[in-house]
Amino acid sequence: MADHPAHFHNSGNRFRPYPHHHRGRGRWNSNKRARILGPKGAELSRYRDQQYKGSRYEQEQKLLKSTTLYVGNLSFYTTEEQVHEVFRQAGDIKRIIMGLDRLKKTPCGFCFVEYFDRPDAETAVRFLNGAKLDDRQIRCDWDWGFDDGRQYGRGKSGGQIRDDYRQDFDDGRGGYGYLIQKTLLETTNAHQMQMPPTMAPPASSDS
Amino acid sequence: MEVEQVRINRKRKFDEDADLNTRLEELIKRIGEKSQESLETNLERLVDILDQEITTKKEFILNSLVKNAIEQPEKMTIYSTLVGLLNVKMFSTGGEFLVLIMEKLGTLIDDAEWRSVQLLIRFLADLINCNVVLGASLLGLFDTFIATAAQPGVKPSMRDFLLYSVMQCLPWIGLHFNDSKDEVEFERLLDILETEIEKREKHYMPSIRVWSSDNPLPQIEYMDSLWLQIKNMRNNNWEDNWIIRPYVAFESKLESSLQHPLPQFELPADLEHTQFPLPYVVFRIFDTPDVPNRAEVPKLPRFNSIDRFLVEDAIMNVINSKNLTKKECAESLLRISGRSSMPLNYMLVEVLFGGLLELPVPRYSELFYGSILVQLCQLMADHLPQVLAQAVAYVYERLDTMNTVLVDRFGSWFAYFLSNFKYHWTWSEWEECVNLNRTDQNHPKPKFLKEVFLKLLWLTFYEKLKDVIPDEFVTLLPLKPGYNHKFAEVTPENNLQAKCAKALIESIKNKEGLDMMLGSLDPLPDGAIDGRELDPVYPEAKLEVVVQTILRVGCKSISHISVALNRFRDLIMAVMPNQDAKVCCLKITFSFFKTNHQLMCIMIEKYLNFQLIEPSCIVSWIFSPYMLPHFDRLYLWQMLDTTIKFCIKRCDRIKVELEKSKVKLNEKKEQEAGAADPDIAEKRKQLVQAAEEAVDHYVKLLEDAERSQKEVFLIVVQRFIMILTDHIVRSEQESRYTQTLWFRCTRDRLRQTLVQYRREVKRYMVTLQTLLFTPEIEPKILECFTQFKGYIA
Repeated sequence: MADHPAHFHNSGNRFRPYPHHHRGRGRWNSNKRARILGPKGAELSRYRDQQYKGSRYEQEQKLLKSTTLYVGNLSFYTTEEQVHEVFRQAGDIKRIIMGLDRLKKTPCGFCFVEYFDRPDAETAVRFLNGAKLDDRQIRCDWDWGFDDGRQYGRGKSGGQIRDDYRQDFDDGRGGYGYLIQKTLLETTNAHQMQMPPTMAPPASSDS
Repeated sequence: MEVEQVRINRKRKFDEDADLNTRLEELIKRIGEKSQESLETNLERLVDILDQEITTKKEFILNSLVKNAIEQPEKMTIYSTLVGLLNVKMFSTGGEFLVLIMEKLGTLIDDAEWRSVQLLIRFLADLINCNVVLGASLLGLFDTFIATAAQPGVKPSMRDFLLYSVMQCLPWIGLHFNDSKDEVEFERLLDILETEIEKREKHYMPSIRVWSSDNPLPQIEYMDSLWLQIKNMRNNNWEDNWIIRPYVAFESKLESSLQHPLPQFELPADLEHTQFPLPYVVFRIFDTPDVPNRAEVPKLPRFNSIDRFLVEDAIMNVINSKNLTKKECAESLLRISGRSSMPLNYMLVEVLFGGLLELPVPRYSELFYGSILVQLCQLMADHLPQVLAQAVAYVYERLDTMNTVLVDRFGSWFAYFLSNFKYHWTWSEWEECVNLNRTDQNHPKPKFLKEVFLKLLWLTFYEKLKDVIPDEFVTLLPLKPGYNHKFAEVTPENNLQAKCAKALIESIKNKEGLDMMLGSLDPLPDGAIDGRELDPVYPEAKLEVVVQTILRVGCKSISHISVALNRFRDLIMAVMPNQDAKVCCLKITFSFFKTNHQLMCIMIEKYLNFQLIEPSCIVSWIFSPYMLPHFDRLYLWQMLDTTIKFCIKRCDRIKVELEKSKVKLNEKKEQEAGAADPDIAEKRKQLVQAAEEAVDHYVKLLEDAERSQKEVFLIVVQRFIMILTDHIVRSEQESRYTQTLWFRCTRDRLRQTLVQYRREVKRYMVTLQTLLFTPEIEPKILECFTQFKGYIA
C-alpha cells in the first residue's frame, strides 16, 4: 500500500541541502556539539544565513522569536496554493513568499512561510519538516524574517546555489545542475547531445 | 610529581562531588533500560548506591524517584520496588518518602496537572505491593475520594475525576487485596464505586461519539469502559498480561519490613472552580477476530479485557510525554512494541486513530497524529501499513454512522497521508462508489471520496490527480480549477457593465487615482443591475464590476490577490457601503471562483485579515439560501471555521496588547511619582497620558471585537436552528422521514460548534437560553443544547 523510499532523511538538523561545497551565502556550523537553541522539537538547525547584517547572536535571537520559516527542496513546479494547503495545517498563514530565479523570475525551489503566531510556526517546524510535497521531502527551518530581495536565488544561474553545483539529475528542479549543463553545452555539440527533457516552468509570478 | 598527583586527585574529588547529583539522577532515570545484567541485579546495586548516599542526599534522591515515576510511568513498578527495598534498609526513609508524595500530590492538584495527579496516586497505590504502605490506610484515602465524589452538589467533571483516579489504580493493586486481611473492606469499596459509576448521567454522549451505532463494536464512555474491564479483571482473579511486577522477585525481602500509614491528606476545599478533564469515548475499531489467527501473531485481547486498557495507557503515556518530537515519539512507541505478548501494531493504530478522531478536537494537533503515522509506517514497514489499511477500510465501511465532523477530519488526514506515500492506494476496493454516486449523490461513501479527491487536488495539481486516480473514478473527481470572469466573453458594446469593466482595467493600467477609477464606473446605476429595489441600497452593478476586475487582475496566485486587495482597498470600500453589499461581494467572489474552492477559502482569510469584510457578514453569507447547495461540502465548513477562529484570535491578541499597555501605564505612573524636577515631571505626565490613551484604545478595540464575536456566535446558532426547524417542519408537512442524513449531519455541526468553542459559548449561555434555545423549539434541536450543558458541567 505504501511506498518506502530507501533513503529517507528525517533529521532536519543533519540534512544539508548542498553537501558538496561550502560556497553558499549561508553556513552550516560543523561543530556538532554546539549548543542547541529553541523549543523542543523545533530547535534551530545548525544553518546560519551569512547575508544577515548583524552578529550571529542577534541572528539567533531573531530566529528564536521568528514566525517565518524557510522551506526548501521544493519542486520548481510547486505552486503557492499547494504550499498554503500544506502549511495551513499548522495554523493561520500571514503570507507566503515564493523564491524566484533572480534572472528568469520563475520559482526556483524554495519559499518563506510566515505565520501570524509563533506556536503555529513551531508546529510547522516540528511536523512538516521532512513531510512530502509533490513527492519531494521538504525541509523546514527557522528564518529570521523576510526582507525584500531575499526572495531571489543567490546562485550563478540565478537560482539557488545548490542547483549550480548539483551532480544529479532532478526533474523537479530543472534537470542537471547549472554548471553541469553549462559544461555539457560547451563541450558537446548541442545537436548531437540528447539533453534530458525539462518542462517549461510556469509563468512568471513576480508582481 | 607527587604534588601534581594530589592536585589531580583534589580536582577529581571536586568534579565528582559536583557530578554526584547528575550521576544519581542518571542512574535513577536509566534503571530498567536494556542492560546485560538482570533487572534484579541492577536494582540491588542501585539500592546499595542510594543507601550509601542517602544520608547526605536524601531529599534529592527521593524527589528524583517521584519525578521519574511520573515522567516514566512505564517503569513505575520498578521505582516502587526501589522504594520498597530502600524501606527495608532504612525504615524511616519510607515514611519520609510518603510525606513527600503527599506534598507533591497537593501541589499537582493545585496546578491542575490531572494526568500527573493520577499517575502519582497510582504510584502511591503500587507501594502497597512493596510493603511500604499500609493497605487499610490506602483504602482510607480512596474512601475519602469516593465520599467526596458522592457528595450532593459536586460537579460531574470533578466527581468523574475523583472516581477515575481510584479506578485506574485497581489493576495494580487488585491482586494484593484479593486475599489479604483487607479484602472485605476492598470489596466494599468496589461496590460503592460501582454504584457511583452506574448512577452517573451521560446526556452528552451524542456530542462526543465517533459513531452513532454500536455495531460492530460498542463505543463506550471512558469511565464505563474501564469499569467494564475492571469487572472482567475481578472475575479473572485480578490477572493481567501486561504489568511487569519486579517486586515479586523480592517478595521475601520486602516482607521483612514494616508498613507505614499514609500521612493525613485532604483535598483542597475550592476545587469546585477548577477545570477538570472533559469526558471522552474510548475509540474501538479492532477486536480479537480482526487479528489473523496464526501462531506467530499474538492474540488481541477482547475490547473489554483489562489488557486493552493497560496497553492503551502505556501508549498514551508515551504520546503525552513525547508529543513535541515526532521522531523520538515514534521510536518510543516502537520500543513498547518490542514486547511481543501483544499485537502492538493493531493497538497503536487504534490509539492513534482514536486520538485523531477525538471529539471535539484532538488533544494534540492533527499534524502530530498524521506525521506519527507516517513515521511508524516507515519504521514498522512490515507490520504497520497493512493494519493501517485495514483500519482505513473499517472506517470507510462505517462512514454512514460516523459523526460528519469526523468524516471531514478523516478525509483531510487521508489526503495528507496519501500525499506522503505517492498517492498509492488500492483504489479498486472502492469502485462501488462510482455506482453509488450514480444512484445517490449524497451517499456517504462517494461523498467521502469526493472530498478526499478535492483535498488531494489542493495538495497537488489537476493533471497529477488525474494521473494517480484510476479512470473509473472520473465522475468523482473535482472540476479542473479555474476562474469564471463574468465579462471575459461578453462583448463590451452590448453590455454596460462589461464596457465599464474594460474602462476600469484601462484606468488601472494607467495607474490612475481613486476618483478616476470610480469615474470609469459612472455610467452604471447606483443600485441593482436589473433595477431591483435594494434595501438598504448599495451600488450592486458597480460592486460587481469592481470585484470581478480586481479578482481578474489578481487571480494568478495568492500573493497577487493579496497585492491587488491591498492596492485597491479604497476602491472596494467605496462601492461596499453596507453589510448587504459585503454579502453581495462574497457572492460575486464565490461565482468567480466557482471551480476553485481552495482560492475561495483563501479569499475568506484575506477578506478577514485585510478587514474588508466583517465576520458576521461571512457567517450570514455561509447560511444564506445561495449557499444551501454547498451545505454538505467540507470547504463551506472550513470557511466557517476560519471565520470563527478569526474572531477568537482577534480577541486573544487584543487582550495580550491590552495587558501589555496596562503594564506600561503602571511603569509610567511609577516613574511620574518619582520625578522631582518639574520639567521632567511634566514630561512624564504626558507620557502617562499617552499610556492611558493606549489602554483606552485597547479597551475599546476589545469591546468591539467581543461584540462582533458574540454576534457571530449568535448568528451561527440562530441560523442552525432556523435551518433545522425548517427541515423538520417541511418533512412533517410532506410526511417524510425527518432524520435524514442531511439532518443528522447538520445537527452534528451544530453540536460541534457548541462543544468545540465551549470556552466562548459558555459566556453566552444566558443569551442563548433566553433568545434561541427556548422551550418552544423542536425537541430534536433543543437536545443539542441540553447535551452541551451536560458536557461542560
